[in-house]
Amino acid sequence: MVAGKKPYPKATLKKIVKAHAGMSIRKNTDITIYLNYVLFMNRLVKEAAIHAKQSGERGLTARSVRKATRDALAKFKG
Amino acid sequence: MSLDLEFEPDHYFFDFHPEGPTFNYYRRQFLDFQDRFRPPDDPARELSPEDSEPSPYPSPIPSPSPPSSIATMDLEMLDLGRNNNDVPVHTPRRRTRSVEPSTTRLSIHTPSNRFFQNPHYPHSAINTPAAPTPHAVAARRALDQRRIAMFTPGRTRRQSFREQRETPMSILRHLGRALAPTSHVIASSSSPDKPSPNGSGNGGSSGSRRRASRRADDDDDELPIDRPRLSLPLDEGSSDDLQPPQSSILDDGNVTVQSVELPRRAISEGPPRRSFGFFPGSGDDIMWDDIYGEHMGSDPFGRSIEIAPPAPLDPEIADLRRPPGDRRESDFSLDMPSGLSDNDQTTFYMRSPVIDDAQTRQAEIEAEAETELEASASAEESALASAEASAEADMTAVQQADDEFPDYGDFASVSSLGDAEMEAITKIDYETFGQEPEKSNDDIIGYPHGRPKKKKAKTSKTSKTRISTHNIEYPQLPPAFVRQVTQAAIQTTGLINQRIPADTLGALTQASDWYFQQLGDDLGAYANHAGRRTIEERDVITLMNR
Repeated sequence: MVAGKKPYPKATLKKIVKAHAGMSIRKNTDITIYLNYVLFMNRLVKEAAIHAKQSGERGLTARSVRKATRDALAKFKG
Repeated sequence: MSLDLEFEPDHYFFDFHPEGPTFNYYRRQFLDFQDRFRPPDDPARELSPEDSEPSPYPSPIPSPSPPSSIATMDLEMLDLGRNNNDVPVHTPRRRTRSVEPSTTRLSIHTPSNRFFQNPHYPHSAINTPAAPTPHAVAARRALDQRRIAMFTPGRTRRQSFREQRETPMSILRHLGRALAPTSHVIASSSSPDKPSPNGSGNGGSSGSRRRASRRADDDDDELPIDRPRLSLPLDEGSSDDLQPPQSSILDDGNVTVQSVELPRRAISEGPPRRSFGFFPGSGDDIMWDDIYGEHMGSDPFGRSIEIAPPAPLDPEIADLRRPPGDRRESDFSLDMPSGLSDNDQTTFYMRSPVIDDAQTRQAEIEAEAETELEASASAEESALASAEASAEADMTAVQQADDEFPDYGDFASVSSLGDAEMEAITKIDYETFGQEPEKSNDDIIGYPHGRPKKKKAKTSKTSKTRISTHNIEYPQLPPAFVRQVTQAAIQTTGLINQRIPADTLGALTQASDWYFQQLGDDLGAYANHAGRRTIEERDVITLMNR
């Protein structure tokens, strides 16, 4: 069996979440966290693309991403 | 090839050129041709009395080029119609040759009938060989050009004489000849009296007037200032005597000092700029005289001011010439380490009051580390403690040496630091310096070499791991992962340009960091609320449902 590309850096993700939460996480929780992160990024990029289109830019720019960050974070707040 | 030429010129009814060559000329030419191409078994022609008659025209060049094109024929016809009384300048033959490029191919042609003019109809179209069309002319010209290009040396032109052919000087000389064929030496517009080198021989009226005016203001006994020369001494000797431009600062053969850029003062701080109207004759020259003392007559390096006008026209340069004794106290200054005499100044500090504290601290740390490094180079690792002691002893010496710094900051407080702190400082520095081989035994004092590197190492270390609010180190999210997720997300947005620039990636990484911080806080709060010490999957699902 060929070891394929890793879908996400599992250990890094777990370390980050553990450090921020101050406690350990269960066995397969990081997969769900990864799913949530992907949803967040989808949302963020979508909002940023809308911003970019409104301001007449062709690609994704840092300015539009920064504008969209606050809303996306608020949406994903618990 | 047998032409019957038994004719009399008088019977010729068509006098085709009234002032042109006589008929005998053409006949003689024709006979010459006949002689040249006579077959060997043919007997020679007997001379007629007309042959002894001198030709009024120079004999043509033996290679004939008959009028061969329509264009030349036209020219000849124009020439025919001209009605001037002068001796005709051109023969038709020569005109033809000048218009058409002469080719050697024509001379090796077998002469045929059509190359000879019919004397009866010398300019009619019968004589001309079939007139070449414009295409034929173009083709022949192209052939000529190709041959010329073949024989013209291009890149393989002889390189040995290239120096003689084109030096920049010769190019300039040619240019000068072309531009100014008749030019004269410009007379100097400056004053005729030469400024004397020591400034004593100038008894001009302006100098006395200035002296008088100054004496009226206040009594400074100063040398008279000779009048500045405002132009180059073109009329005194050749241009080879021009001195090369010299630096106005510190020209005493010290090579290292010349490579140091000295600090400049802002123009606004100096005395008012006086580039215009340098010697108005009023009393405000005194400002400069006060500053420079008896500087004007001969500058402090004993060089006579001849080419350059008196140097302190510019306050920026002039400021550097001030003697160090009356240096104005400013925020930025040039500090020399005190152990060195003025002649071998090699290093200096640029010191500003803002970062002064940090700088002195840094310099002290550097010196300490250096001494410790020397000590460790000599001693073993086991003797580190004694080296430490010697380092402290050295540090006091360094402190004494550094006493020249006027404002020290918290240097004294450093010496009163605890031993643990001192050891920590020295240890950090020792490690960082130990990694740099070029630092090992540098005798340049003072300039902090390893400082940028050390900072860089620190920042890279902090960029790798960060510390959360719970004092737990965590690694940064790899940007490649962020890029991968973003690349997947960007497919759905329908953007045309799906590139992710670096700054966008930075913003995305920043957003991800914030996201994970918020996520961790929320998940921790949920788990804490449920009374658990671990985060479970349902916490995440609860968060997602929210």
